[in-house]
Amino acid sequence: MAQMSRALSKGTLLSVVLTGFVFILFFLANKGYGVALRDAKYFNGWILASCMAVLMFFTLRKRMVILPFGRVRFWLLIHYYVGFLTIGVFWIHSRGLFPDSPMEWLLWTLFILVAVSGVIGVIISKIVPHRLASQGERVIFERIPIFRAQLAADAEALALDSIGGENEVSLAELHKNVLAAYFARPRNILAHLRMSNRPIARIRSELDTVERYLDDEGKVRLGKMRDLVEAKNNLDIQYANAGLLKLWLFLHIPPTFALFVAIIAHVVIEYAFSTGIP
Amino acid sequence: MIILQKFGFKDSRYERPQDKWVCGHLVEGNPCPLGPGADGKCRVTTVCRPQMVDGRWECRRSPQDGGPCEGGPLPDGRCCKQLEPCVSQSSLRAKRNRTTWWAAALAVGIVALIIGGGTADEYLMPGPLSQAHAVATNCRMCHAGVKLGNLGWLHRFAAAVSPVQNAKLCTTCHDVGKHPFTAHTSPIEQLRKMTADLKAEPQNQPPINDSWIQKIAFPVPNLKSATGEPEIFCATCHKEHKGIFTKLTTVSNDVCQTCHVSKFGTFAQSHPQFSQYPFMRRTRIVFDHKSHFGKYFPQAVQAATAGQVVPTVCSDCHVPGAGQKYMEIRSYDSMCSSCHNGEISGANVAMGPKGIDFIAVPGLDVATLAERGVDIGEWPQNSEAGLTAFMRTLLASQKNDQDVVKGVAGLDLLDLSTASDATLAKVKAFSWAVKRLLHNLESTNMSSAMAMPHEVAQQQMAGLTGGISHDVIVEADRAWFPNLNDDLMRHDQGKPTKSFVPPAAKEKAPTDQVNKINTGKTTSPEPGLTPGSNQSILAPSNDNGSSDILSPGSNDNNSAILPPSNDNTSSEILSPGSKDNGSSILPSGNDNKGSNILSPGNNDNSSTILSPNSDSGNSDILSLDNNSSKSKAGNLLGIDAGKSTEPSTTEPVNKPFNPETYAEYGGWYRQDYTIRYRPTGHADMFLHTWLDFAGQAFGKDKESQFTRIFDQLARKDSIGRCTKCHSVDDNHGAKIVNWLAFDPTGVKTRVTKFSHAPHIEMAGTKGCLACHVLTTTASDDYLKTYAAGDPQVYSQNFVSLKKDLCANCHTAQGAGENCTQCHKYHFTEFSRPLIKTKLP
Amino acid sequence: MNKELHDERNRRWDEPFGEEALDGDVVARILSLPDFEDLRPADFPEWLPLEGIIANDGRLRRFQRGDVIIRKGDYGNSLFVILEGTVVGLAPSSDEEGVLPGTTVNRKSLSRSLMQLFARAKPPEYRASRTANNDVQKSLARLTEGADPSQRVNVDDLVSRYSTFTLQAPQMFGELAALTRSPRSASVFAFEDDTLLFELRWQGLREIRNWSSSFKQRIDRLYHERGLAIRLQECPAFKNLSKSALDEIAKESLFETYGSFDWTHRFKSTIGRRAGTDRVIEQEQLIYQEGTHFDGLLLINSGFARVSEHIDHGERTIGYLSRNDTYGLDEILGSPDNGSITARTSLRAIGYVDIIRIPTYLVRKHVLSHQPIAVAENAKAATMSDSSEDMRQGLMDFFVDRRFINGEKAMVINLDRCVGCDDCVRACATAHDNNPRFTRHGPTYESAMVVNACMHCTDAVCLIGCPTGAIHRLEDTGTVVIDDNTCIGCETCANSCPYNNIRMVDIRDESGAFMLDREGKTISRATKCDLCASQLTGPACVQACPHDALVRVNIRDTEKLLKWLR
Repeated sequence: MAQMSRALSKGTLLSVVLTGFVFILFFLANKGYGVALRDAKYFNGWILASCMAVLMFFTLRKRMVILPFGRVRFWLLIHYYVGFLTIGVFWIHSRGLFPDSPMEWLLWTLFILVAVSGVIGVIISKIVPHRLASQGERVIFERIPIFRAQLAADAEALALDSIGGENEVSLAELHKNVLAAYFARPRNILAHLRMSNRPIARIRSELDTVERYLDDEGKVRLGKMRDLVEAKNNLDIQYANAGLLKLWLFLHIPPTFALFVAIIAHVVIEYAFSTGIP
Repeated sequence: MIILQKFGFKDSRYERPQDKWVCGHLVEGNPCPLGPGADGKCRVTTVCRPQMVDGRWECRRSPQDGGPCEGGPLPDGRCCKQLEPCVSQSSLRAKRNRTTWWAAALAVGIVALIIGGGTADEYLMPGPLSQAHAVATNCRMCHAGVKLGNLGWLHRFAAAVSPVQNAKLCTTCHDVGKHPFTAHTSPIEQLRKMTADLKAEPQNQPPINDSWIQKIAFPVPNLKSATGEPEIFCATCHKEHKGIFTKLTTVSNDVCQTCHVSKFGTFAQSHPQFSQYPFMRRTRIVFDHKSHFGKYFPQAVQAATAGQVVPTVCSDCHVPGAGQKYMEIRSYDSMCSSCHNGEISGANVAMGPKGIDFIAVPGLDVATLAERGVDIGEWPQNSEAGLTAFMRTLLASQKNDQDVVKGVAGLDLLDLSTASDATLAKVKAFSWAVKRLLHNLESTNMSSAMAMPHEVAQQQMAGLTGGISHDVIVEADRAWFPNLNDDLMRHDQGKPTKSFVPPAAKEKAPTDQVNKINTGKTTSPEPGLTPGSNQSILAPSNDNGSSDILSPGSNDNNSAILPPSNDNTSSEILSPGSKDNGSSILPSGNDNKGSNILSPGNNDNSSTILSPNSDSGNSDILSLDNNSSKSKAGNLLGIDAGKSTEPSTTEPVNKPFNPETYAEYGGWYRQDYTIRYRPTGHADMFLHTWLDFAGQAFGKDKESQFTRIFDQLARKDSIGRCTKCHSVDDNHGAKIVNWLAFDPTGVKTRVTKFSHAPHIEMAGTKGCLACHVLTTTASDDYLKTYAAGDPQVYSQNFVSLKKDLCANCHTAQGAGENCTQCHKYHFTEFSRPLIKTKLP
Repeated sequence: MNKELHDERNRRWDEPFGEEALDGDVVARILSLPDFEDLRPADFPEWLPLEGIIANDGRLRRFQRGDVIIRKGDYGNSLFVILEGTVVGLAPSSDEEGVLPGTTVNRKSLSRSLMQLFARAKPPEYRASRTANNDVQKSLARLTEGADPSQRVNVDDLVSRYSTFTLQAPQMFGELAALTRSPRSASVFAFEDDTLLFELRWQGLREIRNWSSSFKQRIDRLYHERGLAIRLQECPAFKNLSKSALDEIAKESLFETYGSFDWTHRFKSTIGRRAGTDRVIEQEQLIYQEGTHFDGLLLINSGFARVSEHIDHGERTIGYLSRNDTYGLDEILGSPDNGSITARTSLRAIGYVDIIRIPTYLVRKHVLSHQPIAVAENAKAATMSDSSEDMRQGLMDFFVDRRFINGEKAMVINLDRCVGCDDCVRACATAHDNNPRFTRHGPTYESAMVVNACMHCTDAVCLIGCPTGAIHRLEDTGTVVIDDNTCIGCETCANSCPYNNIRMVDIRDESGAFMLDREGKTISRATKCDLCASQLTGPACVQACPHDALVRVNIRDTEKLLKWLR
């Protein structure tokens, strides 16, 4: 599997090892700080904050794309691995416990939301593209409605044509009962996310059942209809999965900024109640 | 297979994913070519704006849209293709951005709710407080700079709050002594001293660092007090808000080691060895376990005296004290008394007095003095007592008699025959000083007579005086110096005293010589027949007579009879008789008869003949006289008294009175020429107080006054035997008698902690001996060390404990090896939260 | 020209080649030159007068001693005629490392990039009205008039160290590159101060050549005489032959062209059709039929040729030949002397290809006698079969049939990694005033998508038709760019681009409404990827791609491409 082999490439392993090493460094430093009669909360807290800052750089870099600050892909790699690191740091900072106060519930929830969605995002963006590439035509997401409309129109035309000619009702009825709805809007999104063939299989069988009522001419039309259905199916697959690729960011970016707000409040509060011991 | 996409430049325009808005018709699948404006408003009107060209409307559709349409413009010049306007949708990206803003806004709202709504200590508290602090209901109790009210904590930013301010809030409840923020809450000087001592230790090895974590530790925060001393605050170790059941006192070893120069790893490997643990000094009570185990206990068992307690197991004597840290020893009464009481009360003193000489009439060579014409008034002839330490003290405290004692120092007061006149003068002064002292003691009470050098507590004074009663003194004076007042009066007026007989003229000198020779020859066995014997008989006769009459008789008689002896009237009654008989007879008897009869009679063997005769004859005669004449009773008793001193008493008329046994259970008594004190038993007030008091005098001024007393009392063989068991420590010159065994409660700064309780298990069959092993050295080493004053120099009965003994169990996996298991961070006693309750 | 009559639509010669169009007498002087003397204005249509061509497509340039006139390797857009003075050129063979000062690329400053970054989003395809800021765009449009002094070289030193040739008035040079739109074969420097040159851009040259047959003949002859020898020298096979040998070969060898000069339209219509790729090969003109007699070594001068072998009922593409590749060396090597040779493979012209046919005996005589092995290897080097990555037949067909092999900087997307985040497109838009310059779709083979973005072809056919030269190569990098100010929106380039990588747009004003000319027609401009020539980062799309799913690559660099696709 292509992306599998890529995922396990030497570079990746190296980065993982490096990340682990950095985490261990942090862990030791954290201990060394706590031991020195200081309050390690502040240490790993600020480390956590700076990690998040680094993560935020990724967005910045994307925004000022035409400035020569290195390719975004490298920034994404940094984003990935620092991201994993951040989760570790957070674990230390939160002592692996679910907090006790509303303020910290907020922080905790937001962070987990961001982190989890992030990890999911990584996995998705490694797996889904391969699906898309292997499933029919890779189309631009924004154009999917247009193509769907096309297909719908064609299908309808085909159906009308079947009546118009020597008045075959079967295909037309099929269209009226089943296909019209099928072409009308994206269908079976969840099924496609599961890469399940059940929906398309059902429709195929619907088409097959009609076949026996048709003469050769009709069969040709049916064949065309089959193509249209296949195309629509592929389009749905594209829509579902490409949509997923776009959608997960809704769980990642908005919480991030909410978290940002919460963090600021958190820092203010922490310092308000600090013992003054650094 | 249908290919949906067309790549032709006419079929496919640029996608514009960066735009915020997309055409509303996109969902239907036919977005318009123009697209919404930047403001998201639909801008479409028509596909093109036809133009009138020489009378005809021409389509102006862009070639990008397929060029002029076949339909062409409508007659009125409008475009034939009307696009219906749309409500343009915002692109997915735009939606996402909007969501982002909403999310941020929401977060702001929630934060505002959390901060503003409710009280800070409910919503902002990072975690529940530990049980102990459950009382802390608002943040201000522990967080300095936080003001009242929901947003009060924000005030913290206005007010600069230093760590110490927070820490001070802790100490409002918790009392950790005067130095709450120094390391170990102990005075810096003490720490410095400890460090110095540690460095000074011979076996002190160079600092090690076996702790890897310390090698990567950050520098310790540099928090200093106003005076520049390093400070450390409660919150450094005690971390709150970590849940109800968290122990605030748990501290990791690493934290301890951060400050300590020598950072060791495991207890077994690199913790320093113990030195002399647990015996930092010799025990205060001198108790030689080995000799007791080996000798005395077995003997006691054999003797099996009734009511004698003989311990069989350690715990008979040793009981766990508070917190089971120390095995404290049982009381003297319960354990030691049955064997040792005798020693204290003096019951089993073999010979010599069983009381402590307090006041005595120092024996003087009265004869010589008289002869040499030194007027010391009347003075008991055969007192042989020495000058007691107490008297020295008392004399020393008398004004203008200070140096009298020094004057006669080193003289043999019982034989002044060879003394020079100067010496005699000194003796005279001395004797008068003694008399005056005795006289003073009658009138002024003991305490003022002592004239203590410094303020003495009443209790102590009571101890010092030993509750001596006035009568003891008075009676003594009467017995010893019947005419004390008169003598003193005359002495003060410079007159000779009554009893003083100025030395005779030159002619009498030979007789004197003879007398002297005689006496020289004949004194030793029988003083009664010496020329002075009359006096000596007389003196006691008064004495005994009175006492005799006193003891059975009523006080009335006594007073009726005694006073006259002093008064003129009585002297009128008695004195003629006495003058006629006594004085007239005796001198004559002395001079004429006695000498006449005896001297020529038997110059050669008179002694051999006479001595028995006189003996028996006297007795016979006297005994007869005794019955016949009452007036001679004195003589009789006097002789009796004389007799009683003889080795064998042939016929016990009635049991001879012994004042010593009279005072068997302690108290004052007089014997011969000495007033003595017998200890009342263990912890006798008199001895106790004097030892303490006199011990203190060492190294002070007036040392000479008291130290003799101490030396007298502190002698191992002295009455009371105090210092046999109570060791005496030298403390900057002063001598301290350790009355009590080591008292744990006395220790205020404690660095280590230990409890026997958990260790009982591992004691096993060997019991206490598992850890406390008897030494194999000769047992007297132990006692020897007590001869010296330094408690630090000692040899123990038990081998001091080694680290390895603990290290067997105390490992990370085993019983644990945390610093705080055996060491206390807070040296000072850590009191519970202060409760200052005003009386209602 | 007067502004009243002038509107937003560009017209040919709106922007003359020179600062100003040349005035009458200069034009007269030019036309009096020996090269142009036999041109008859009558031959030219009235909408395209000869004087107009000379005046607008030509310009005068004055150089000082040591100035660089043309650089070897630059893409030739023009020919030069010496009016005064002398120029000296380096023989093509001589390598001139470090002789020439590096060319200065005019990039944006960081500050300007920032400004661009945070500029308010402009409406789609917005163009500032011309009257507003003309000069800025001029600077972009214009090639530099005189060389800047800093770039001067020490001519004497040059002459002493290298083999050089000198030309003086009224000789012509640079026509070779100008005709074939290929890189300059030699560098030329001014030998004297105030050397005055007449420069004619290739659009002008093309017109004259089209309309004046005599001129065409002379140009071609000139090309044969001078060009061929140099040309041969360039290609590895003939690299180290003696001058005489080259001349002999040049004399004997033939100059042929196959395929149609404007092949693209038919190609596009075919390829556009379903399963069109199968038919493409039928259109390609056959140069050698497999198994037919073989009478000489073919050297590809420009364009591409497909090497295929017959299998069952079809042709299997083995590889293709591009500029400087040779065809037939194996055959010649493998065959006995003076025996008849048959082609083992078929050779077809992909589109339009210039070929130089060298008689077999000459090859035997000169080439093989020297270093047969080296030559053989050179021959091999041409085909695709050499790369360590094994090129699957399907991919090969995909590249060759669709003629992507032409691409120097083709944008390839790896669909296994692309998440369709459109960052590339948005980056492109950011780099081009809020307008994307490519569409993220294109022909796909398995996971490799060749996106509809300008490939900056080796043989850039889009350049051919452009009437104004708005579309041109940057001299230094060879990047094909369109000068928006000279583009007249004639769609020629868009139509002639075989890959649909040039798109026409209707330009708009600040309000976002279409700009209309006086006749109310919308104004179109040709737009395409310019490799972000003016950006600091290079292609923004590559910069932006977060998943390393997008690359600008030379399709012929199979090694790199396949490794990346893996």
